[in-house]
Amino acid sequence: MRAVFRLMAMLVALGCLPLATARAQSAAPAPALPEIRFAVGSDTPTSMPGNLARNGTTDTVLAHVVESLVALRADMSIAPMLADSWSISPDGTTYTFQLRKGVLFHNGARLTSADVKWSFDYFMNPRARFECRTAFNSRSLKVLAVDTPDPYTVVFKLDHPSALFLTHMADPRCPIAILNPGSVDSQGAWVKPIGTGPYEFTEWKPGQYVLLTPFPKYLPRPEPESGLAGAKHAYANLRFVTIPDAAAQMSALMSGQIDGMAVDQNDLPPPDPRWTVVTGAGADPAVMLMQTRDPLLSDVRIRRAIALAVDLPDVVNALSNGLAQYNPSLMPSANRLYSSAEAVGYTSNLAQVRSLLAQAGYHGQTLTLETNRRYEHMYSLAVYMQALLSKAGINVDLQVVEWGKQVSDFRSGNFQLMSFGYTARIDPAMMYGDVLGNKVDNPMVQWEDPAARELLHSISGNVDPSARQQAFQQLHQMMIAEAPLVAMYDSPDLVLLSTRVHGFTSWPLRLARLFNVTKN
Amino acid sequence: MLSYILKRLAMSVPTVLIVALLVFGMIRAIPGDPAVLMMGDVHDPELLQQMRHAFGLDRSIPEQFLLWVTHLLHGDWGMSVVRHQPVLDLIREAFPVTAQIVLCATFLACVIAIPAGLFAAWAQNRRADLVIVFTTILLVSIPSFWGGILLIWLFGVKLQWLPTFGFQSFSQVGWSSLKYFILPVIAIAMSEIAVVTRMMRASSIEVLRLEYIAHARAKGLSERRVLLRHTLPNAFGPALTVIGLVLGHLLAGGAVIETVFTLPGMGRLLVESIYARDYPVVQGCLLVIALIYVLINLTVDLLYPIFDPRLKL
Repeated sequence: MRAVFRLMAMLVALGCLPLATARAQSAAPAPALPEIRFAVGSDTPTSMPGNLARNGTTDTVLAHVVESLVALRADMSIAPMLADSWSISPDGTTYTFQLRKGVLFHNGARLTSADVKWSFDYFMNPRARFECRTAFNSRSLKVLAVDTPDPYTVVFKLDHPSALFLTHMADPRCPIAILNPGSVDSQGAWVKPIGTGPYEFTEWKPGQYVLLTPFPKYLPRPEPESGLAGAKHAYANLRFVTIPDAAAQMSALMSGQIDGMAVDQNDLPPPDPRWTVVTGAGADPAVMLMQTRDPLLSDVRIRRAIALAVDLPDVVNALSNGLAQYNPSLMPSANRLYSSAEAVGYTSNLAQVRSLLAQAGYHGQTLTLETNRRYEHMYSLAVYMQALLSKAGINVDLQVVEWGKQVSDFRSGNFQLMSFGYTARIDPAMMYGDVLGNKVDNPMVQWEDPAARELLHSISGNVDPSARQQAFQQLHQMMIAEAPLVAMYDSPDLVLLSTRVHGFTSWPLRLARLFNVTKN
Repeated sequence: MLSYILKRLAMSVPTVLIVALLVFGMIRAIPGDPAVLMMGDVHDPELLQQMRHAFGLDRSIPEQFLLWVTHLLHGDWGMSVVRHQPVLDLIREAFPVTAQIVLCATFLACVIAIPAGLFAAWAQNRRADLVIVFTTILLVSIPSFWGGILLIWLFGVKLQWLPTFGFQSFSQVGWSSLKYFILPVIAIAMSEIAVVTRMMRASSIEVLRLEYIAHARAKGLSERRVLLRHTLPNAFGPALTVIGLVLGHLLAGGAVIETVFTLPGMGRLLVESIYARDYPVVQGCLLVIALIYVLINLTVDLLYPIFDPRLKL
């Protein structure tokens, strides 16, 4: 019996050992302000803006911490942020920014043009692993030089005019964030973001939470808030809590331990006075890709037959519980350039399907539709499409793979049909730019039409909105005719919030903005 | 004793090496490497090549393996390609979380299951035995994640007595850190209680049928003394084996329970790293798991002679 007790005592001692060792760590200071706790499904793997390891959580957290020279408004137009104004040379290749005066970094240093140049150079260094480096250093756009004639003037020189230069700078996925050089150590290794945003990056407990606290010396802009632009005020501490499981997030919200979470369209809880759902249009296109180099799918008649075989508005309605509309375009319906021309897509027509299939000599060959279970909306879309295409006489097998394999297949073009979701691009030209191309050079592109590529190229330096809108309408019509993919809908932005939280608004990029938000 | 321990440790070297080789090969057999996954739908061949070079993925698999083993022998477990942190640091942060929960759960399970199993055997086929057997069947039939969800719903959402997620170490919040332990410990202990009770009951029934128990009773010893002095020490051996196996399994990381309760432990670290194809972390975690199994088996073997003097090392 004594041996049993000895064993028990040993287990207790072993159990207490980590507790004792953990005692040596220092405790975090207790927050004085109210704290808004927002659940995120995955921890941020990095605190560097735009690092290749980034994910949606990184973008959400850092949108409160760092700022660029310019920022996106709610309608995706460009607004001033750290630059008060800018001018573009007549040939469109020189951008001169006048910096805001009196802006301080979180370490108390004053913002000058030297910080802008340092930040840009840091991001362009391949060692930084900046995801959007090619946006500023490729054939489509190359920044030749960044000059700083005085402490409040920065001049960017481009190799040729670009309609997307400012847009790329403001991209929340990988912004050219203006950072203090103290963000890296003496070896140039990343430490933490020292930015100019309304919140400071205070504490990061990997796998658990990121705590942001208000920056007391933040100087809000005079314009009204819109998107990531305009006046930003920090009224509470923000804690982004990592809770991977959606059910665990929901129970945490129901028990009042968190104040907000993004929610899936199929998991909305019943109405309750303790919470409210904030809904809005999204900008991430859910699509079904068709491999145009596949022997069967290289025939445009087969691809069109697939697109016409299904009542797509009904599928979208069923998939999204009525929270999203059918959008056949790669341009999100929330974009200011979206017009009725973009809304014209495929109308189900089984007679035409039969005719197209007969003309193409289709004899019931089986196509494989690849999907995954990590992203439930992709899986649901694949299930619907498989069932409805089979009903229309097109044999489709569902292949459910692990997400890593699907990404690998997407990158190599190794698929026939694929249920996929693109991350939102803030300008339609960026989305078309990633879809159009030559599959020999880049197997990730879906559409190889040279005329469409030429049309897209023709507006690359054109900043005139009406000319761009016209070109996008033409591109959309060409895409519908050639059917390299079937665009379905923009995944809606759905946020479940405690009724104690006020002032939260949705926006299409589905990035929770918690500045100007208060809590009772 | 010392030579036995050294011999056993030496025997575990090939085991760990085989595990390392298998892990190394199998994680690379899964399509998609970390560089490809990190790039996602970004097209930048130069950057992809640079990352593959930085991660050593542009070398042949045998070269990569030799490099990894060489670094390991120098105490370098590598860097996480996703988190940019040393693998050993990540494991050092995650393992104590798992260990605290699992060891507390195992202690709780032993405290309940050993007396329960012993008592059920003594009261075999009587009402108390049936109640214990029924309860263990019920507990073993409830998957731990489902038990965890029920506990969260009852104590977290409905009664709001305990937090439904998260983990605070003792250093951060003192004794109030215990409230983060209660639900996951109970969820894990439930299935452990069932397994250990059943094993304890079965081995106690066998012991109670032996002649020396009849002899002890014939001598006029009280039932309490018969059970505690003569039955328990002799019946505990098989239960110890089960406890060792369960402990190894749980210390390896109960990924599901850690996900349900949002615990930043080994299981979650391993699963997230597999999804991200974070090779160095996956390799490091699985190597630690192999070592845990080796050490626990060794500990159990060393403890055996305490309960069964017939076994000598």
